[in-house]
Amino acid sequence: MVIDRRYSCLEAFSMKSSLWIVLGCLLFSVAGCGSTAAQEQGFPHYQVDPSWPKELPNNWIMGHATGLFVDKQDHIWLVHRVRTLLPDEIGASLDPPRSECCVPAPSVLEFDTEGNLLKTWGQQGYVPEWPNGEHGIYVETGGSIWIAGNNQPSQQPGALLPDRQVLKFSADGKLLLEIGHRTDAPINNQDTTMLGAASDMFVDEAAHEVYIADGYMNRRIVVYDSNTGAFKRGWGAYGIPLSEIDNGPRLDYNPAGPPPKQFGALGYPVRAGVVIDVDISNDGLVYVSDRGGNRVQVFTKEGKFVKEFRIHPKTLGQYGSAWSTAFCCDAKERFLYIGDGENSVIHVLNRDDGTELGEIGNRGRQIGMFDGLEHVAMDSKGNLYTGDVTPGRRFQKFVPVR
Amino acid sequence: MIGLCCCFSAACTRTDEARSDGRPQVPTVIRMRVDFSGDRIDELSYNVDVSWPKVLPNKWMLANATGLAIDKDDHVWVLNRPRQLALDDAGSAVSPPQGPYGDCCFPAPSLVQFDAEGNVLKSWGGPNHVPDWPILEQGLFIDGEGNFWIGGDFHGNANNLTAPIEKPDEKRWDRQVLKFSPDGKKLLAIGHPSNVPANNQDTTILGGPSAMFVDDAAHEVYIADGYLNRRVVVYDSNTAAFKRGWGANGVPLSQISNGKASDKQFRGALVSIDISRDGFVYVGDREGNRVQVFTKEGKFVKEFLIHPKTLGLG
Repeated sequence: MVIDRRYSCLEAFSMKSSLWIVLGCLLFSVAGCGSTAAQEQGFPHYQVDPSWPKELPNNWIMGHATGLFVDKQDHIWLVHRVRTLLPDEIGASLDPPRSECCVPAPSVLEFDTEGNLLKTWGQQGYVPEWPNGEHGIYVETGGSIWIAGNNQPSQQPGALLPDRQVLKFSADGKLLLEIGHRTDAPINNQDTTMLGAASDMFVDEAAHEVYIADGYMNRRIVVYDSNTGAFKRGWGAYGIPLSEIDNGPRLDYNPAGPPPKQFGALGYPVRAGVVIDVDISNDGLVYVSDRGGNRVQVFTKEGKFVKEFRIHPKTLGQYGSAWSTAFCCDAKERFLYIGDGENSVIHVLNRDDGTELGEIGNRGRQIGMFDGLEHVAMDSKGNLYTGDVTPGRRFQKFVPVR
Repeated sequence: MIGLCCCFSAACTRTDEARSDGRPQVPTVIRMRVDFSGDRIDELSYNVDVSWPKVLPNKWMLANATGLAIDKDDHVWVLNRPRQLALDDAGSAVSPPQGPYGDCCFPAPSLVQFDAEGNVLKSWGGPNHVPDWPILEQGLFIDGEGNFWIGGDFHGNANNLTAPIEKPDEKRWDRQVLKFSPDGKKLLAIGHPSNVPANNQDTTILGGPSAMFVDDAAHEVYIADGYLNRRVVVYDSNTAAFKRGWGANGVPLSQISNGKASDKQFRGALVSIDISRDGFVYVGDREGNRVQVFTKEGKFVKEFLIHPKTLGLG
């Protein structure tokens, strides 16, 4: 499934689980299909593995794919937003049952690389502050699990409280820590006792620090002690201190103008400019995905701004181009993969200077395509995992073809 | 849609055995348990072919799939509803200044033809193809001469028409079936767009017709009618002259209620109609959780209740 020029090589590759097509296209690419053939650049072609994950037991079905993490044992952790399941998808769980299919899966599912389901846990009400809209997952080496939530304020009568908290659980699912709490207090980027519909975490295990992408309401990165929950530091776009982050209405993204001074510019129609993802590379740089701002900003762990990569800055739409990051494919992490749910591809960048080297995939509803691509993650063998939020609502695995 | 299956011979080979063409086995197997006249076969299974169809050209996206037909060359025709494509799926078609959203995508034409390998061969149709093109395409049949029959089921809610295509007149409900030549020229219309109330006695207008079947030898088109009406109606497939019609259990059109639904009527939506080789008419009554079987003259033969505890959409 891959790359170079989207509508030359890719057309033949894209859904292609069949080896002979891939081989055929490799020959084609050597014969001059695109000037930046993936393999010359050193990042792999991929083919979808339609057997991953295996069919869920217990008549389970998953909603929006809102969290994806590969732990040190190459176990793949998925989080889905249970409340996004539609009545005709969970007919068997209704009273009276509407149909024979299906029942919401638990919020968190752990798979191995073969697609076997190893463990599940968590659900609405699992603990009193369980997020109303599950979003983001990080699993530490010792097995502790971090979950965030992005339910946002709503004027609808009976609306659920916004998620302003991140939760840490032990490996056996016991609540260890809560950072923030559920509240309908106004947005406040200066208040570090609560979050703003956080969307992702990364734990620096050596330093015992958790980095939080915060989030759907706020416009900042905040860092806490991962054992005590004590606030350590935080910053906004370009590394500005929390005190300089604007709590007012967000500005529309202007593709003709300079990049926004704050995180979280709005797309059109009004929605979803979000600090959505945070990852730390092996060489200790913090990568922050600013979705509506169509960019990834890079910081030191102390929050000093290093550089930014603008990702297809003409992108408009409800969301934007920079949804999630992953590093590939060696210890030096030469390549930066960026999941782009608006353009429905994974951009492959030279991690050092941000040069775009190629693209993986394209939009569609068939197996191996992306439709609302939110997450990208790699395991230690170089397999690529993806999660589609909406309308795709699925997780997929791609294996490298060398 | 009802599929009338299957092969009863050695051609009915198991599909989960290793393929001989060297393509890797796709372990995604859908098992099927069938009992053919007491000769139990419970190993028949299907493998999903993940390479079909291929990536669409021209950055096209397909929306809700509402029609599927195989032509005489075993090419697959897909009917879809471009107007229901999600805004982000059609981001390239959004006009400035709000768009284009990015590098993806455009609504595909309403009809797309694929070969067995998943290549797009032909495509046509869409909101401006003819003035009475359905707002929400529903149901596709290709007759023995290669003509296309297309129904529609828009009845007034434009809120779920999300694609960046000009919004239609909300009063222009789909009450028509259209017949096109193999090259897409309109040959015939049965009924016309209108928002007059449902009337199962009026055969000059349909009610959200959703499936068609053409009896080529008799030059007759059978219409499952539909989302608003509760009847099967049959017209001359060349002249569109009305021939006959009936309701659930074969009641005459005059006895079909235009008011509240009951078990004695089709509950609707009537979403499928097929005729078997031995000449029986199979009608899918979706919310009724049943298939009713008739002679071609409309005499009720039998009904099969399909998981009758099913609620929801049936």
